[in-house]
Amino acid sequence: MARSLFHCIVAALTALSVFTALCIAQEEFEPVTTAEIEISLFAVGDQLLGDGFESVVDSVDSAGGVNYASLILYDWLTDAYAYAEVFTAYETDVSFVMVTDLATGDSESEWFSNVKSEFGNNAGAAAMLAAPKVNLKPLIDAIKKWWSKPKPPPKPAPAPPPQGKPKPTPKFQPPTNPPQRPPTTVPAGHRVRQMPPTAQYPNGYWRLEKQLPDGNWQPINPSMMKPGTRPETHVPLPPPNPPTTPGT
Amino acid sequence: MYPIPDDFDLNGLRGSTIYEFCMNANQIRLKFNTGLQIVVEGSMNLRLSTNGDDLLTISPQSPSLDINRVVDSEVISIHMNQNRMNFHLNFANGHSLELIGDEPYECYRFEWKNREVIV
Repeated sequence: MARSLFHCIVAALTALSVFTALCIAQEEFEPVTTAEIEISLFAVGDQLLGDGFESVVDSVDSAGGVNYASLILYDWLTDAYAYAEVFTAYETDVSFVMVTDLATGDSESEWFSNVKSEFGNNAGAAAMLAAPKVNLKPLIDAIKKWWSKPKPPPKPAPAPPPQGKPKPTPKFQPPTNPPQRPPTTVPAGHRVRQMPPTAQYPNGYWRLEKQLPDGNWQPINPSMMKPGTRPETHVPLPPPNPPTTPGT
Repeated sequence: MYPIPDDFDLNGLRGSTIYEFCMNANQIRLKFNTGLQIVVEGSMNLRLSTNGDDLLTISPQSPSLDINRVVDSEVISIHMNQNRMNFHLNFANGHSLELIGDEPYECYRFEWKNREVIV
């Protein structure tokens, strides 16, 4: 209850402050439209009321949002909020990384993608809220430059995905061990676990695990025979042998 | 990577507590007082109820002692997402832990009563 009340108060105060800042922004920067200001107000309020970053981005996209991130950033950067104090050092770090990323030339979509993939859904709000703590001038300059750019033409519709195997996710790192069959003899205190095909391991994979003194199993990189990361310990299986023809 | 099987009943986790966690270079183990153990090789999101909604992403490669915030607090509810890979534990002290299972590797596994379930 108290948290909801806090969110409501913060959202109300924020909406008012954002509106003021965005009105100033509109006077200073011609390309910013009333629609963009409304979208930004909506987005900030939405986020502070608890919506995930992804859903805010979706809502803004569907409302035809342009430069929404720059508007919000401009607001937070130029209007140093006391609210930032309630956020943690972690969020300040997030903010620093993300805002710097933006100022050094990453596109809006890259920025969104970075926030989402590295810090989860609510990190966008954290980044913006903690933004006053970072060095402002280069960021504001970058945002001004961004605003003055002509808007890009609409993107063509993405090509339909090819039929067949699903596309590996960007988080996937190729296995460090080449495809190979699991060992036929396993050292004492170890086990081999063979697993079925997946999108990234079309022929399946195997893992070598070592039993620890407490009975737990620890994944082992078979080329080093030492504990390893997941790309080092998921060993791909080779394609199955083609059937042999009698007489060949 | 793999969904939690339908026949693997996790309702027994309600009312339980994590009494200890252990870390090595590639795994984080969460040990429950019911005997269940969750071994995490991927990442998990720890959402803290204090100071708004702090979200920490924790993995063996970026560990955090903040897991201690949910130790000895009772699990009051659990739920999993539609693909049965991401699994949430909500604790009595308001914090929650989400185990991420939809990565292209084995992400975590349950060890309970001589059964291993790999996600």
